[in-house]
Amino acid sequence: MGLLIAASTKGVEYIIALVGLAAFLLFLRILKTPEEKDRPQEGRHGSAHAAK
Amino acid sequence: MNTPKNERAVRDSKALLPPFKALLTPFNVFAATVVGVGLIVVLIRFARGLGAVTNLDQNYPWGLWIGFDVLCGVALAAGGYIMASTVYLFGLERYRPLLRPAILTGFLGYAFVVVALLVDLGRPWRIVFPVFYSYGVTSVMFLVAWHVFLYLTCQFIEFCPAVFEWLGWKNMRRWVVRLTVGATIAGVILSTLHQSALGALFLLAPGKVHPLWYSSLIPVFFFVSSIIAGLAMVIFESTLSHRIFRDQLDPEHAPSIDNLVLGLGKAAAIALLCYFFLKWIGVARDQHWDLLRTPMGHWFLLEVLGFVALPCLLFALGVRTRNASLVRFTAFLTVLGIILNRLNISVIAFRWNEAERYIPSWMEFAVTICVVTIGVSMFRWIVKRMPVLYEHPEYKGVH
Repeated sequence: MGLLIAASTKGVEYIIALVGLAAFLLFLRILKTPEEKDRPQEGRHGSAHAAK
Repeated sequence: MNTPKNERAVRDSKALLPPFKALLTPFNVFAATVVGVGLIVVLIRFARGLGAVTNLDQNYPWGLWIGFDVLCGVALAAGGYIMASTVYLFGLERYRPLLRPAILTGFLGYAFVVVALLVDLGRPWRIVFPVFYSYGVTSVMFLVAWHVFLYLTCQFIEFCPAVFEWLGWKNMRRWVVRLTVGATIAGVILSTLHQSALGALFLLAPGKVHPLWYSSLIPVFFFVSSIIAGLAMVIFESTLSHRIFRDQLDPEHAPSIDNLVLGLGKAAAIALLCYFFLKWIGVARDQHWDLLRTPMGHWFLLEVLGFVALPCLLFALGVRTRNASLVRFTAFLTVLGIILNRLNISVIAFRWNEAERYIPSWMEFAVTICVVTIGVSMFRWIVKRMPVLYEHPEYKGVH
């Protein structure tokens, strides 16, 4: 069934979109610099002030 | 706090023109020659028509002036709305040093798009017709005309604070600063619409644009690639500005420019990744995989792999290794890729199967180079006088 969906045009489009989304998330992770990883998260769940 | 460098820049900026002898620089002589030749060709075009100076015909009604001056010009001027939304809407204040040069580049880019369009269309006195007299509401061109008119107004408002600071009109500056956020929001909306509308123009030519470039997603391609073009152009333009106008720079901002370039490079890498996958969704949607084995398919692969995937990876590598020089080189490569993409859609892959292909005449190139040279000269004139690359000492920290 999966192969049948993949063979159809829409299926290929969705597969490319899914691979793209996975690559996008991976890319965001790769591009995060060490300073950004160490930086305390700002916003509701943990501001720089709260981290202190 | 005033710095001696800024005070000198402000003092020097008061002169409208330097003494005549100082005008005779190699750049000015070159620019005057190029502009002189271009203006002669423009005169011939208006006197004797398009056929006298261009190789356009019924098969190729749009040539270099539309493909390069308009399509590439609009895409590469996208830095204005990208940086305005980054600073004013997303609040990323650290990018402010790059804001005014980007808005100025955008404003001049659009202004010269209009100039080039008038040369191509002819009858320049009718430019006001779509706005005040003749409403062709069913035409995409009507949409583009209105958007460019409104967006130019928005960019003018966004750049006005620099002009008023230069003129010393404090009250006017205070008023126009209040309009900036509104103008930015309107500018972003208009840019989103007309960048994609320019792509939508080609939806009218399904049999004429090569199937690998023709897609129902063209408007989306044009919009996403304009974000990439804007980011790459801001990096490219800041690289040139910081070399050529070194004496204009704020000393406290100069060291942080590398960090800003890395930030923009990161955004460009992510946008390129999205664009890369969108392009393949376009191919999959119309099932044109077999065309990839043809010569035009190889050309398409060169564009997508060499000028989308490669810059994406190079930007990522540059950001990871904190190599600002690599990011700057990649921005140049990306700008080339955007130019190639727009020329592919409008010229190279347009009527690709005709026996007699369109090749622009030397006079078309002369006008294009003339328009670009006038744009660069105006940028240079403004940057040397107005507070574009530095903050005016009287308005430091006041935004």
